[in-house]
Amino acid sequence: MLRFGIVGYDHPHIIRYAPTIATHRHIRLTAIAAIGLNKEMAKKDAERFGSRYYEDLEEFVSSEELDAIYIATDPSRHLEVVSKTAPKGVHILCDKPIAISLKEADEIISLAEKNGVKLMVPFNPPYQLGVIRMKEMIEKGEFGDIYNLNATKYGKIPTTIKGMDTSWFLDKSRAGFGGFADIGIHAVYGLMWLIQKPVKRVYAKIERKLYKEIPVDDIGVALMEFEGGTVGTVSAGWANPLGFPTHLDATFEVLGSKGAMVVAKPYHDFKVFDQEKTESVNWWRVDITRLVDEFVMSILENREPAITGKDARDALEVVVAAYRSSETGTEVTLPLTV
Amino acid sequence: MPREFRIGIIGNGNIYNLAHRPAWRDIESARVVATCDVVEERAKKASKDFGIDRYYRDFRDLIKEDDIDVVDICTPSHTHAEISIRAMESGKHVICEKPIATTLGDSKKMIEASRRNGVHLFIGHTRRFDDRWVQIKEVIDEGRIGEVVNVRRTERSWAGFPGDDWHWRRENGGVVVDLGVHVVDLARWFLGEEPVEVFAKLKSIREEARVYGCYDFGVMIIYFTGGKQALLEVSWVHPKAYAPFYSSTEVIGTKGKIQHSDRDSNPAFIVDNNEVRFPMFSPLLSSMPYVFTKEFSHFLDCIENGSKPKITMEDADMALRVIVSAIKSSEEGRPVRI
Repeated sequence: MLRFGIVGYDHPHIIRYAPTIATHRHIRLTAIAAIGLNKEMAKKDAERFGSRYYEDLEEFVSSEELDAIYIATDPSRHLEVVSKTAPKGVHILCDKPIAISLKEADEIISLAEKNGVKLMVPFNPPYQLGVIRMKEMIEKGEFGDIYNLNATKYGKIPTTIKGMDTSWFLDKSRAGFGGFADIGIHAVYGLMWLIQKPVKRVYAKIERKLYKEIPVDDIGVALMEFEGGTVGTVSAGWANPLGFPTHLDATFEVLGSKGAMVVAKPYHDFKVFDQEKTESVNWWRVDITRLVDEFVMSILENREPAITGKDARDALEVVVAAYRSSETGTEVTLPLTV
Repeated sequence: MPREFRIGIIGNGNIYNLAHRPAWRDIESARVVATCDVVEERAKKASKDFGIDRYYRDFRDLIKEDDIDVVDICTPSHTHAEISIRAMESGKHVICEKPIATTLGDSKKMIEASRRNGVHLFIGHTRRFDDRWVQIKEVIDEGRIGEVVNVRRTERSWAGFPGDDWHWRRENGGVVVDLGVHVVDLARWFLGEEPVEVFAKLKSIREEARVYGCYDFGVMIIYFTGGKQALLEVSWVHPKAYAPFYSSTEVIGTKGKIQHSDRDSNPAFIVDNNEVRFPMFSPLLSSMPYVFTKEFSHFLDCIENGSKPKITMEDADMALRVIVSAIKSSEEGRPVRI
């Protein structure tokens, strides 16, 4: 059994990750450290899962002997947490984005390398059934030459998530970016994973358009050119109105010389009708179960996890380039100089 | 008893047979009195459609005739200017298929000819008469989704035109002009703002497109006044079997969003032992045939009442202006001001 810790209860992903980790067959959730927001929620989870509870990172690090942690702090603290845990040989599942800058991302990656620990960043698309099928078909050449890949991904603004303080999403110094990056980095990574080629150029428009009172962007569109000429588009942000039947929705599309494919519902749902409304309920989120499982198996089998720190850094680089394009009004060429 | 309009139709090919012929036969206040096509057989056959025996090979002969009020132009796009200007000089009102023209110089001359001769120049942007888009526009205008900030629209097909058809010729602009003016006009109509800048990536993928140098696939981001934007895609490259999924539309506002796709709203599908099929009303037509009847009736009403049409020649000119800028953007690899 892997001795596992959770650091940070800031990211709402914790709602699904905590129980997924706690119930994994190879994991004992030994400790939870709420070093930021949502301490009450963390404390309750610690009781529920029989884990020791901390509020101080130093104390957590010095008291616990752990094999691995999941980091769900706000992204501005990822480097701090990794710099304290990796030297103790703790493998790291770090939520996205890997960091709020490429420089910090590079430091995180080198800390993991230097200390010989696994570093994985959980992006959903590679674990969603329709997208997996699309990838298999692209690899087998069933679409021929790939001309175009599109992804849309939208969520509700995270500050409306009930029962959690998620105010850090609206603070650029803690989140790094706004709504486009928060949601869109999954889509960007998804396209890069599908085509397995680097992005050469990005043009984007990313702005605050939907929520007049917030200090960060909430929606963006990006047009990318991959090596080899494939054109990709991403449209993403906090564009799901509160009345939207599910928190998230996404689409993936591919067009090639031999065919096309659409994944219209990577998040499976069932519908509940009553006398007043129709509600959509996401099924069991198999993607999260599989992401956690992949991280665990990479440790047990002593191999690279399917999504590495480098992969996460590459996706972050495209996102940074997209913001830079939007700020300068020009197409931005990659790789960026950090 | 409303006045009866006497119509002469120039160009008796694809769009005439698929759409204009049935539409004119549906309109009580219109009587088609002459047809015209450079291929005499086609003109003759078209005249029979209306039980008349008056057809021309040369459009100049048709527009000379005093008993014709309205000339309906269904010729290749690059010929719209010459034919419509001469018709207007002869005092005829003109209904012209979209795009208005293929160059901005031509469209400007057409608009001037309309003003100088005191006759209407109507451009057949059918999307403005299609109940699907009209109803979405109504929901937008009711304010139900707040202020619209982001439009994503795709129009995808497998162009079935023969390899030597004029649609593939460079001077007609390929899909980027042919469907491009539709998606641009739709986005501008929904956003209620003016385009400021466009960034586009266009491709020549199919052999027909490569041989004749036209674009058969394109994506573009258009930035509008008021900080609004559109992500648009047009394609003649999607496989034939994809064609029933022709369009998708996503309108994001500050209080809600609207989603439509032919994929999700196809009125029927057919299942047999081999496959699931979606019936299409026409493999070469992107609007329901009734749309043309509505459009022509509206244009005749505008003549009768001297009222402003729902789609003006200036609207059509703006759609072309954006597309010309998009082509420039793609060829120069930079965003282009409109």
